[in-house]
Amino acid sequence: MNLARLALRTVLFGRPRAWLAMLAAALVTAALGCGADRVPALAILACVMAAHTVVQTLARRRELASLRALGMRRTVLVLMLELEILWITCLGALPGVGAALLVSGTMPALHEAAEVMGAGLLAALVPAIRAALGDVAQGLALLPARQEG
Amino acid sequence: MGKDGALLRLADIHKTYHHGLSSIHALSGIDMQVDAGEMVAICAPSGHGKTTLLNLIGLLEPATAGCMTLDGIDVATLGERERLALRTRLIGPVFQCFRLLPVLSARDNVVLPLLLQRRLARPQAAEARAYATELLARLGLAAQVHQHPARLDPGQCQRVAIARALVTRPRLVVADEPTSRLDGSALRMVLELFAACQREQGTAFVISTRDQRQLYRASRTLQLSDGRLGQRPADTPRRLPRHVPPPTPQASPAPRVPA
Repeated sequence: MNLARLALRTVLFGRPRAWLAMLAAALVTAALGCGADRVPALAILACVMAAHTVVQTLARRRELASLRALGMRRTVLVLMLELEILWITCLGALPGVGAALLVSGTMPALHEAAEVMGAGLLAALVPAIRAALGDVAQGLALLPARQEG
Repeated sequence: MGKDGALLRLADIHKTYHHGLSSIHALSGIDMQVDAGEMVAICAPSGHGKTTLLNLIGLLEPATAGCMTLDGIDVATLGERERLALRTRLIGPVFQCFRLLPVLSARDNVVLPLLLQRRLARPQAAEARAYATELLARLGLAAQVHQHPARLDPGQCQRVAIARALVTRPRLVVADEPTSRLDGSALRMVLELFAACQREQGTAFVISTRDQRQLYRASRTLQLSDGRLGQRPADTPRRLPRHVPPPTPQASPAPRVPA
């Protein structure tokens, strides 16, 4: 178990689900592969990723607070949230490349996939830092919406 | 450890929360001391500052005033990083609502603090997993090692949370109602594990509880009322009798059925 695997498991099995953000990454990758305008496509992706991170950090306040209480440093928490976004964009970009190949017959360039990942990571940075700066005791004091088990 | 052998010492601790113009004094003039290997139980009704006190002891939030030393270190002088380092080195927390990660198995949840503290170099990872498995087995969860929290009942989740607190071999365990969801046999296993940690590692326990079964095992019981701490009157025996004979069912003659 390491941080990257923990992030991957959270993306695949955690709640709230990350399918919408993955779909956005796939669509934007496909659009870039088909020759769409870069700036609006990446701006839309950045908005989706930022919104996704805000929702994730709000819904998982208790979980993030308990991670901090167990010894996770703030920088590591930011890194974990960014790794989650990296996984989402990677997993979303793969079907996006396939879709671009099917639709236009052209393979998106490597730098276009990198731009998708970069836009996602940059957009998630501010909400991730805000989550890391949150108060641990206050986060732990929140009652669980649904008891574990 | 402090010069006088105290692992934890609180002197005239105050905690005040400010909400707009109003202030709430959650804790007022708390004095207490916990020695290594001791189990201190804190009793209080809801809303009397129990969780606040445990948060202060667990270094999750700072006191408004007063002096607190942990292992001889004045925690008020520490910065955020030093507090985190001290917390992860010395303290094992058990949260009231368990706070297990839903995407991890029971064993991975137990190993998690070691991962977060970067105490898991590759050769040690197998050893840590083995120790986590051993802890879970001692708590009666050998068959649930690979189960995720969603598949465990609340009592089992609580035992996983206890194992998670003990996996780092902490000097002080701070537990908020750690036995509230346990039945008799699970409680016995937990208390035996606590006693083993006290005996073998000198682990001290600060526990908030309303569970009479656990109060029997505590070295001391303190009563927290309106943010003030007092010694609880000795209304309960300190320990359970060692050999309590199990209740034997009274053999009653079978009723005769008329032919």
